[in-house]
Amino acid sequence: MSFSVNQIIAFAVSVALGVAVYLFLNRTRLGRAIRATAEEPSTAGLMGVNVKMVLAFCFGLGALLAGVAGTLISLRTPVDTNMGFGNTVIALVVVTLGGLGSVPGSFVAGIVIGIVSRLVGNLWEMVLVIPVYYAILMVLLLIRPAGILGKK
Amino acid sequence: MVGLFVLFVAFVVTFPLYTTGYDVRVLTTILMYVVLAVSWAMFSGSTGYMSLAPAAFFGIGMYIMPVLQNSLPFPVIIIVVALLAFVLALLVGLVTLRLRGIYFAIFTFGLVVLMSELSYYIDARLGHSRGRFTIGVDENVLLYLMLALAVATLLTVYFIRRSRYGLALLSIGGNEEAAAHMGVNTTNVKVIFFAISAIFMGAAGVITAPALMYIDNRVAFTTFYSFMPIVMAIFGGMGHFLGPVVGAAIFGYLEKTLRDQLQAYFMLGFGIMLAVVILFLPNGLVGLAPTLQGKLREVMAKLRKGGRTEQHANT
Repeated sequence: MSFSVNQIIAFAVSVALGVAVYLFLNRTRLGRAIRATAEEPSTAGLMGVNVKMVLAFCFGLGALLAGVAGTLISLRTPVDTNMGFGNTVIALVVVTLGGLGSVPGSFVAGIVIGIVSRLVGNLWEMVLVIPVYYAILMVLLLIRPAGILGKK
Repeated sequence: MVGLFVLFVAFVVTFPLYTTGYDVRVLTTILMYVVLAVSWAMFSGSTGYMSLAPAAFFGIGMYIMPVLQNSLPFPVIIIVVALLAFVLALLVGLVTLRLRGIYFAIFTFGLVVLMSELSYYIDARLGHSRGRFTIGVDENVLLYLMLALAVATLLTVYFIRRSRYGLALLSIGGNEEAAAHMGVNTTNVKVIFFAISAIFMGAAGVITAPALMYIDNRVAFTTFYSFMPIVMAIFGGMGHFLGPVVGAAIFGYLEKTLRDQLQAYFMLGFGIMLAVVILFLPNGLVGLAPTLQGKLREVMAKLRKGGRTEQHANT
């Protein structure tokens, strides 16, 4: 089984970014502020966290990561102006599967979803990939909404 | 209020007598947006659960219409689709509305894409066909049907708002935990009213289909019909029952008329307008009304006092 250079680069960058974000959230002061705001915004505000700035920063960070992801995907896929929406749907499924708020969860779920998409696409039907995601999502929401690594 | 309503209905009913076919179609589209915006706001406005599903239910109506057009009369198709949309919404609600938080929004976000892919699969792989042409229906008939649907939607929303379920929905939007403690069966209320709102969206899709003439999965299931009603409802203002109507009327008219002149740029204009509205008019256009009333009162008071200068001492 051979992988193209693009695929290896994409994987390496994703792993590096994932680790970086995880370390950022868990080992830095701002990361702690973000986690506090996520848990209890009003209390975090009372503890001296600038909630507005934290939220704005998170949105920007998310945009940054999405931009990198888009660049990586563009190495292998044709690009068009509407590609964001379809990938947002996939991203939402990944995040829900991994557990909202858990970076390792999103990572694991991303790999799972990636494998599922290849399996369904090659063994069954490309078109059915999204319906399969939704089937997984429905089962998940019925038995364990917290996700794989989410906190209950 | 009732007088205004009767006036409005009379206006629409007599519309075809003095306007062209194009204008009739524009009015039908505006009424479609009214139905979508009002039925979206019925659930999402009160409860705060952001639903991005209107396009999915609307799309079902659009897609199923040509499927059934040779087997059933048009009004029956509307009823069948309404039931279908209701059942689907029940399903979606039962899976996601049991849970609080953003799972509902996440699920409905991609629902349109799901319907699009599924319908493509069923038609292309299992049925070996793609896309259907709709039978022609006279545009005046479509106008009247859409008017009837809009009236039905508005009446339903009006009576729900006045009933205890309207209060239940609002209480869920205010503080769901408190509502649950007050005895509101939050899950049931959410699921049922989400499903009710889907009925009107599906019916609107059936009535819109003949105007588009060619329906395939891409035409029927576009996210445009999810975002537009939301923009319209927010722009019009969700505090008041008529807010979405105002927003839908304005935006619907703009969409039809500007699209030809500006093409791609009209969406840019919409985006800017939405940003402006959220920044400066969070209560929408309807929210402007109390502010304007207050300002008007101030101006009138000043005019009345006129010559008499302020003689009151500030104690």
